[in-house]
Amino acid sequence: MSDQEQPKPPPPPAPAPAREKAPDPLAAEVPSPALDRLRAVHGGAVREVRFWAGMPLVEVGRDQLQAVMTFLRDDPSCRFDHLSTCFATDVPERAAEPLEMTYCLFSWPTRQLLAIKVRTTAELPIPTVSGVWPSADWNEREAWDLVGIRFEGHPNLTRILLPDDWQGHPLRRDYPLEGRPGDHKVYR
Amino acid sequence: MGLSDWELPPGVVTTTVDSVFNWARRSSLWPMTFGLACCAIEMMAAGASRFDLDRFGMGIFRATPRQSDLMIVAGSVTEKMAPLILRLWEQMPEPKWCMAMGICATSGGPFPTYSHVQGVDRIVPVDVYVPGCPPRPEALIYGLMKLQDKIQRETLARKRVSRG
Repeated sequence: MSDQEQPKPPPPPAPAPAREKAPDPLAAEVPSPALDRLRAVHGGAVREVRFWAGMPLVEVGRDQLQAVMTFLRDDPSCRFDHLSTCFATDVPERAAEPLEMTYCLFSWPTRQLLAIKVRTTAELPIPTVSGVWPSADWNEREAWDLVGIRFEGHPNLTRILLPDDWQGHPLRRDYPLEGRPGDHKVYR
Repeated sequence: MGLSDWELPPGVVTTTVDSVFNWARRSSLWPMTFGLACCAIEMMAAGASRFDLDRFGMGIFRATPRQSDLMIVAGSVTEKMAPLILRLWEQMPEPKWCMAMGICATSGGPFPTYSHVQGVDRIVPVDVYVPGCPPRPEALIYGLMKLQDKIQRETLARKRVSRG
């Protein structure tokens, strides 16, 4: 029995090769004539470009925002005549510039989508685009009301959703969800 | 009928002033059209033909507080709306009643947030609370019948308290 060769223990399984993280198909780059045109003319304004769901997300500098927006509206290969929405976000982890305004553009003549992002702080104003697309007026008032982004040159930057005498901007991340003491008034 | 021993002409009955007034008041409650959110859809359904609030004499929704007896707060109340609710309530003539329909108006419900009033009883006194999200028309009608019972037990001898 002893000379019989003992069956060798099976070799330990080879360590699985490190799995590469599959690229997110939603974040795939897509051709965008408007983005090419923007890079060619206002390349200095573009800070960062990402893609999501077939739409380029372009972060631009605060100072060049109005020039970029006017260009995107008027350039014959862009012609973004429709500001479909714009909204504000607060990301406190991004300490240098926690507030961000996103403008989602659509072009009916050239059938393109493009999103423009601008980052700022609670103190620094960003130029208004209500002169470029009048529909930005109320959206910017909402961003001021709830998140507290300042807009320079806005014709009527007052509260739109909250009561006129409200203090603070409740969609900031540091605002307590249930409100500050005094947010709920006593009537009886 | 303490007077029943007396001989009364035919067709004459005796009762108390309270009974007559309360019967009249509870039998013709006119609610104010006051829909704030999805509960208002159920309130409209309660007033429409399938559930037919008119059976109880209270299907006449008035578009003005000055002709209303009952304020059904149907939906979530925001802090911005609160002073307007108080103003409408104060414009209603006495006697008046208030119902909180749904959990938003009852207690704030699923919105414990900065902008929602945590129960409409922080603004006006509430007679009947109807829970639900939103309550079915049957629940609203049941609440209204409870309110009718409550009105029937009232007395003219005591001043109503409509402002807490």
